[in-house]
Amino acid sequence: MGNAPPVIVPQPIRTEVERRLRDDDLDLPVLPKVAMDVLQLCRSAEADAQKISDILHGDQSIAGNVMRIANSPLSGASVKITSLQQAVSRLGIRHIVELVVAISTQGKMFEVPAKWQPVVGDVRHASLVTALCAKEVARMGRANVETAFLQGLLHDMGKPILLMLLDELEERTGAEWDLDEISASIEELHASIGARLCESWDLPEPIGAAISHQNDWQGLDDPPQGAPLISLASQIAEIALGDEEHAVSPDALDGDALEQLNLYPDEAAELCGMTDHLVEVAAELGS
Amino acid sequence: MESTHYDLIVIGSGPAGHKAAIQGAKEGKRVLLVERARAIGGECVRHGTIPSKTLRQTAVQLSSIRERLDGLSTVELSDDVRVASLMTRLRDVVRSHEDYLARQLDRNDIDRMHGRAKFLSPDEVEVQSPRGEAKVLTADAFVIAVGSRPRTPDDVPIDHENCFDSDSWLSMNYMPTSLIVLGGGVIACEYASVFATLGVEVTLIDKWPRPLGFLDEGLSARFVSSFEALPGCSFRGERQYRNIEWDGVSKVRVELDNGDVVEADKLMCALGRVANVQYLDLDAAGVEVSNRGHVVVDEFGRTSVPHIYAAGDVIGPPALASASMHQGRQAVRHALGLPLGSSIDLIPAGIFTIPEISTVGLTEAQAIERFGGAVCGEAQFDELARAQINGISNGYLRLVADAEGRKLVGAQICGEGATELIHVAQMALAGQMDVDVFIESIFNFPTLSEAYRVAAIAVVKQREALLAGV
Repeated sequence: MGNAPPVIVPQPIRTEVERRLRDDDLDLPVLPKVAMDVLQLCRSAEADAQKISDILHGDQSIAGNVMRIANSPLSGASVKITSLQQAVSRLGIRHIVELVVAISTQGKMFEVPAKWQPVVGDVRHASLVTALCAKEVARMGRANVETAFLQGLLHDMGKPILLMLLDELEERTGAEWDLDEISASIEELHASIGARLCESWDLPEPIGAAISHQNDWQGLDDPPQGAPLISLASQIAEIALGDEEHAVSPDALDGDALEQLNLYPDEAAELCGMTDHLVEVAAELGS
Repeated sequence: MESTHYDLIVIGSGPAGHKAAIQGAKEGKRVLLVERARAIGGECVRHGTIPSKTLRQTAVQLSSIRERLDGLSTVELSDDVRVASLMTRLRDVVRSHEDYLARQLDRNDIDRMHGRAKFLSPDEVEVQSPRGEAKVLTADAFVIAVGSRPRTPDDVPIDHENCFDSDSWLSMNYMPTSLIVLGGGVIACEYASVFATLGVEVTLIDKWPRPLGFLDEGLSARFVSSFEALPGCSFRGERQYRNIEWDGVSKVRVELDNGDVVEADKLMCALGRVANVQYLDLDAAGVEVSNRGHVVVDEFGRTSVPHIYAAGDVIGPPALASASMHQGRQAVRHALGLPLGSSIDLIPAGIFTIPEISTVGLTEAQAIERFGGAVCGEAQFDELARAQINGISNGYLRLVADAEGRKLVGAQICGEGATELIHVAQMALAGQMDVDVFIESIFNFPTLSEAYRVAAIAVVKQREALLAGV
């Protein structure tokens, strides 16, 4: 008995996505102004705790979350943090950047409607875990740790954007696609949309390049370093989140990604040993 | 597990391993090259020589533009400039170099394996791939050329975010405004001067009184004066760190043994390198390792096990790519009973600081020790028309002759172009020539090579004075 033919992306979906990408007509979530300002400030020489806390005061939701994280046991707080400036000092400027972008991605703008949950699951939580795993994979492979976090965090954010577009398309055209077709569309098209999101948020180019090639890097002569890194980190995260009964095993990891990143079984095992802690940190960050 | 036999197995594909494998194949041997990384070339290509020299080229060009503008206008990099953007063409350069290395291996029918090797016995290695698959291989001879990695003391909190080692450094996103470099060796000084030239305020901290201490004192003094002439840059010699920490906000804080505190955006630890022997299980082969962690070899590159050789960084200093290539070839030539080539004494040292430094042969102190005296002559670059035209007046060439002031025994050069210029002296040394050859020869005008003539005249004048008893 032969295998079932692969489900292909319905042509109207492909055409619409390609047109939107070509015409720069995607409805991309806007990075909150506070997050944008923090990113900008942190790239300059003038960044300090006072200036960052001044910016954070402009967004109650982000400020509240920063205070919550700074006071959580995970940040190692032994005394209560009472001001934003203290919180920035506690967490550090680089972590504040990660935190602010992470908080921004946990908002409603990346929420997946319940009807699509069976297709993509909880993208926001999985992305947080992936981001933390990506950071550790990068540290192990001496790649850029800051970039890795954002690559992991945003690698799947094209999915909720695409789902919103599909909602709109279904409504406009009256077309109805089954879950397999939706799933195939997401797998094939979300990466380009995620990369476009990074561009619109003015993030460093390697982040978008890695997200863009997260699914097709094996076919490239010289893939962006972040692409196999995302691939491996998301796989570790997926296994860690999917099976609470069993520890993540290095044998289950993608050999191509390990090979590309020059990670050997003992290093893969070390990464797998961190997953429980990372899932815990992600839960705290995303709660 | 399948077992395969080779005439020669080379472990590591950096400069030493690559040349060793080719040397073996050229003699008709069946050769396998094992490399732990996916690409050929070792650290030199992805993290070392090639990327750092690409970044340096940008710094040199920037410095040259500033010098030519002579204060008429300022050239500064913006605050948010990305490190990768300063290494334009890096990807192309790396790819093209890797392709070239791989083509050479293919042309010589050298088998390749991506994996990590460990000895099971003096005649067997097991190679494990990243996927965990293992294969046992045997050979008549082995060359260990696994290179080195940065030494990271436990009390330096390397996190590759705020505190980097010299290999992870280039993965940084944005240029810092200030930087602390720990160490005073070649890597520390090269990076310190490159980043200083790019406008970063650099503090170089070392336990020795002067950086590049293995060089002639004049060369390291010239390096320090050039480095400290850049805004916000200083060398803190005879200082050890007592404590290093990230302040949790934006600075790395280094407390020194005299109580001083130095702060900077980032820190780079360049406190030497250690041999990559940790996965080799050298005990299983009976290969001796020194107390500094290097594989112990004799003058032919032979380890304590006669058919196992080692070459390159894994055997310790000088740990230069050029020396490693030579060692790799020599090891295989010896293993195959072939005549050995030239002596390693004649390998020049090239240090890509800004300005460049290069030496070959003996320093003045070494010549005095060997010959009981030495006669030296110098040419300052600002006396040369070409140096004036190129705006590289901050440099000099020094020739070292024997006690009679006749035979050339060494040369040292500081200044842009030094690593190319040194080869003239190298050839003269290889030919065992007198310094007079530089006076008798006619050089192109205007060129930096004229410095040889000027320096040789200075030597001959002293020789004549000695002969005249003045």
